[in-house]
Amino acid sequence: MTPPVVAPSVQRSARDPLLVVAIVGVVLVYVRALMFTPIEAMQGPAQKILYIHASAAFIALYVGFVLMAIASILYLWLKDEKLDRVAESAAEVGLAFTTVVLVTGPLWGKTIWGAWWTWDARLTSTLFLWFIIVAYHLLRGAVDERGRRARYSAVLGILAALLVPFIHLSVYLFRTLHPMPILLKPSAPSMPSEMQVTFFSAFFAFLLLFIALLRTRYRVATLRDQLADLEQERA
Amino acid sequence: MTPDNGGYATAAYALAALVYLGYIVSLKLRERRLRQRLAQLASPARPVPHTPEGA
Repeated sequence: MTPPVVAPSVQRSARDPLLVVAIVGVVLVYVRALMFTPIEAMQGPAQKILYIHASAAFIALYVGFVLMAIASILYLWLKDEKLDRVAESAAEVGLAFTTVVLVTGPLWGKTIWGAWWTWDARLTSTLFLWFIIVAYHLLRGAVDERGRRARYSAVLGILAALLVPFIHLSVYLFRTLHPMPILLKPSAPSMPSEMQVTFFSAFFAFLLLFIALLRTRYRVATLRDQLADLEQERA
Repeated sequence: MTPDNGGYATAAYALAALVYLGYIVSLKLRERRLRQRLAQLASPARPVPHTPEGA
């Protein structure tokens, strides 16, 4: 009997230069932010949380979950399994970044507001989105049939992404403790240039990390599907 | 006066690193496990090498 053909992606080495570059970039950003960026006079060193908190939030919401929604819409239209894998990967990496947002935010809030958490629109809707993305992954784990799993999760992914514009606008629509954007806004950034350099370096380093993690997660999804095919073939 | 809250910043950076590193490790472990399983399934069944008793 001839052995089943295994795709080259399986045989390829698990080395990932992009991930290594991204990790080095993030380490350099840590050094720059913590050691070489000036301390903001009013808020103190806690203001430095901005560099990791805001970049993680921006990438999770506007890159991760938007990509998840676009891939989900395209999957429902084209029924291409690759698109389902992209949506699944973007959702999971986006969830990791949102976790960072929800972990670092309260530490900043405690120093500025005097409270770890407040149930205002921005914070609550972000937490709500985090729970929906967790539910998205639980749903994927609960449905065995691949086509049905992709269809159901695509619908949930699209609905979850509808929260993104709401989260973005929440600081304008409601009275909230969360500050309005100081950098990524139509007018000029309200921040000294040294801090801007640190912020944009952090943004690009974490964006690179997001892309590297997305590629790795996509590879995991592809391997999992190949394994399922092979096991079905053997059964 | 600038407040002394450096501990919060350090904690935030440490926790963020923990989340990212934990996720990277979990992805790499999943990838390695899948590759091993696929390699097992893809390789033809090899006969057990014969070794003389007492060797």
